[in-house]
Amino acid sequence: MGRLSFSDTRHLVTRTALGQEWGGVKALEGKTRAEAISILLSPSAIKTPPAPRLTPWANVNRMRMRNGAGKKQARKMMMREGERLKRWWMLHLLQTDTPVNEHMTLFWHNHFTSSLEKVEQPNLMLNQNKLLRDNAMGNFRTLLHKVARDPAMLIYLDGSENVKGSPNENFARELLELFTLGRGHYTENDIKAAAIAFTGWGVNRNNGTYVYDARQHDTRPVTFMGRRGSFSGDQIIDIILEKPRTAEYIAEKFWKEFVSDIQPDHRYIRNWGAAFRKSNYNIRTLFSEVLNSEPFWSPRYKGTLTKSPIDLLVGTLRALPFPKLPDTELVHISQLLGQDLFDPPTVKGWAGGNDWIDTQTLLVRTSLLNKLTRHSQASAKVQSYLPKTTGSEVVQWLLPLAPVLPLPTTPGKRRMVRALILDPVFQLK
Amino acid sequence: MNRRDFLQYASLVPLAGMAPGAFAAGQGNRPDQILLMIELKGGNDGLNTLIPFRDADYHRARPTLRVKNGIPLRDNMAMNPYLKNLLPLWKEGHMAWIQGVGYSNPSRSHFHSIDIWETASTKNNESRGWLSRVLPPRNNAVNGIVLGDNNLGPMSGANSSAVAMEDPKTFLRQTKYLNKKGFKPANSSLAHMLNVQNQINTAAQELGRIHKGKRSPVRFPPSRFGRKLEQVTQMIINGMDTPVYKVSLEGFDTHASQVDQHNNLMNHLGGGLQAFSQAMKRAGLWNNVMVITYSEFGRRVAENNSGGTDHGSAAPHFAIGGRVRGGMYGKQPSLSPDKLHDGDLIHTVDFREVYATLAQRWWRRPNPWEKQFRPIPFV
Repeated sequence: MGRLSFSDTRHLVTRTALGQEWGGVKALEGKTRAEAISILLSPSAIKTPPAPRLTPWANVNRMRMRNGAGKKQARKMMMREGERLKRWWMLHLLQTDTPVNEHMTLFWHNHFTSSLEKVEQPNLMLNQNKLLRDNAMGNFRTLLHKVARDPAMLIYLDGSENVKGSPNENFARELLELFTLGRGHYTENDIKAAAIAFTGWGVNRNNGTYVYDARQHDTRPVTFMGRRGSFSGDQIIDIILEKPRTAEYIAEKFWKEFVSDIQPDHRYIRNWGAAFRKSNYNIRTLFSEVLNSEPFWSPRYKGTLTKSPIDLLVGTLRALPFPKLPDTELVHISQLLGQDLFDPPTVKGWAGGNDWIDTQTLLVRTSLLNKLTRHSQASAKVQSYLPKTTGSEVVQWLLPLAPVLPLPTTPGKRRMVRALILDPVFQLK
Repeated sequence: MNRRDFLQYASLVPLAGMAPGAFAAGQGNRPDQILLMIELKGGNDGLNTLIPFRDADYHRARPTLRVKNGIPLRDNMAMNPYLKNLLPLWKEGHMAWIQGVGYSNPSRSHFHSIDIWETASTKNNESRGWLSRVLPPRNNAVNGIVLGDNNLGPMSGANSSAVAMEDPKTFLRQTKYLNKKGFKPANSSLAHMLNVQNQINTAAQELGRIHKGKRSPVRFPPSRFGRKLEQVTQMIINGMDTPVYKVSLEGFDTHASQVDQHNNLMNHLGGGLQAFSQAMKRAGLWNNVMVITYSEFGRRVAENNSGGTDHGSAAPHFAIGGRVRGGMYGKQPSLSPDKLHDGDLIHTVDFREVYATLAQRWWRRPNPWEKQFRPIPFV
């Protein structure tokens, strides 16, 4: 197998990390695919900035219970702290030394969605975020079991309301439909049975921990996926993980995230799913399969994925030496671009792909990039921080395909970079 | 032959002999059925908008907030007196009230409930606006224009072909930086981007033309809401090729000291829409427009201790237009305490029945909710 060209490593890095940092792309040039992928998937220890200051829920609750004014005050405080949490993640996305792991954290946030809007408690969302980050490249089986008892998730999908005699099917349904098997691979009766198995799982909202209430657990025997028994929630998860379809469903999500929006090629999904299952759901194994596969490198799919708002905002700021924007503005822009961290629009997360670009967001994207690349006093130094290289390598560094608009005829590194960033192809990866 | 067919046909023959009728106002390709949606932001108090004024339960639940001087319409229901500007439309038979509009297991969160209304899904699994399921996507024109908001709301989604703007002037300024050049899309993602770019640029070009176009002689109230309606009017009479407009009226979240606030809003609503209907009549377009209101929820039946009302559920909404069949539709939910759910009205009409009506009876398009929700004959 040949050695990776600069353009190859840019492809590998933009799709898996957060933006194409010059140093990161250059470091992999000349390596074999396998070497480069193995380096990329072995991040150093993960360091996050100190956690944001969040009021313990017990205190919030006391405030809420006091009176109407207290309730209002508590709501305002939660809003403020929610914004603080968003800024914290945004800052980490911008500064992290482990962008691949962070990309995966965001991937799992979009898979195992929960939203501040419903959960209300920033501290529970922060805990969920930690859980996703710590397991982002770990084991899917472990992650799934942990997510099922994650307090934010138990609130988001009403698991904490799911009690003996009055089952709430919300979590059971999404577990099957969105987290593991996908539509068409289970029945309504499977949902009902799973809901019964998860009865009694709840949250102590005061200290934000998972609690199991045996009195609320319904021990009635049920039939789940053709098996009869009195199951626990964990047993339900293990049955789901026995199904080859679960691994294939996650493989399909990887296809969509890393290869293409276009319908996946089933041969690859089967192979990736099999490898994933064989590794007992090692996420790094699946990731490595995907990145080492033919479709990931196929010219057919290069430059076909639309950059997410985080790719565009964080990726551009990480890769290029433009003046930094205040974190409140970053959070605001990401909201306008349609990716409000910790607040995905629906239980399915962000639809992504072409949905990232509509008449509203295209205008925001354009004005953001215009603003970043505009000549100003603050940006006077940008020129000197740009890599010293040839024009054609700059094109390869910033764009996945040839630009579709004409490049400037007047020479000038910064002018060139601006033209490339404003080219529609810059929106792709 | 509908107007679009006619224009396509007309473009093949010399225009010399055409009568300068109402349509001569603009050069655009104006659709025959235009919808103007008015979002009553914050959750409008339906019970003080269309008032069950003979219902003792109403008076009991609203000792200080009850409206005593409503304008009786029909079926023991009266209209808020500050909507008096709309009374002529009611009398002409061009105003329909749809009572008890809501949905099952109502959400009392502003954000969540408006999401439900705008996506027409109660399952939190749909991020695209309901109109993108009714109207076919367009390539070189926009299906909708949202004024005064940067949120596409009922028209959101990649294929919905709508633009949102604070006002046309601001939009023209924002679009200045957008690439105007065409390009050859190398893949479907670029083709989508090009399509969106073209929609924005076409809308901007049209709005630039309309900005200099003819103005309605009708005077609009000098409020923010009035100005937005005037801008919509300007677009319609100058032939903008857009079937949907959306304007919001804000301030309906009346938790405290509601009376003056709500009356004031009713006054804005009635005054603005009266001017709009006048302008459409003057342009000979009254039969081509329908105005409809919506809001995330109604308000609690019982008033609270701060002279206001808290978030509730079902509420009445109205439609006006030259082809609207005036009258009362749906059933007013019972206010009897034992017929309430946690102090809230139980809806009698699902809001998707209203959407089904617009799809099927206004636009003659398929009803995407055919299996569950049937149209209402108010048009």
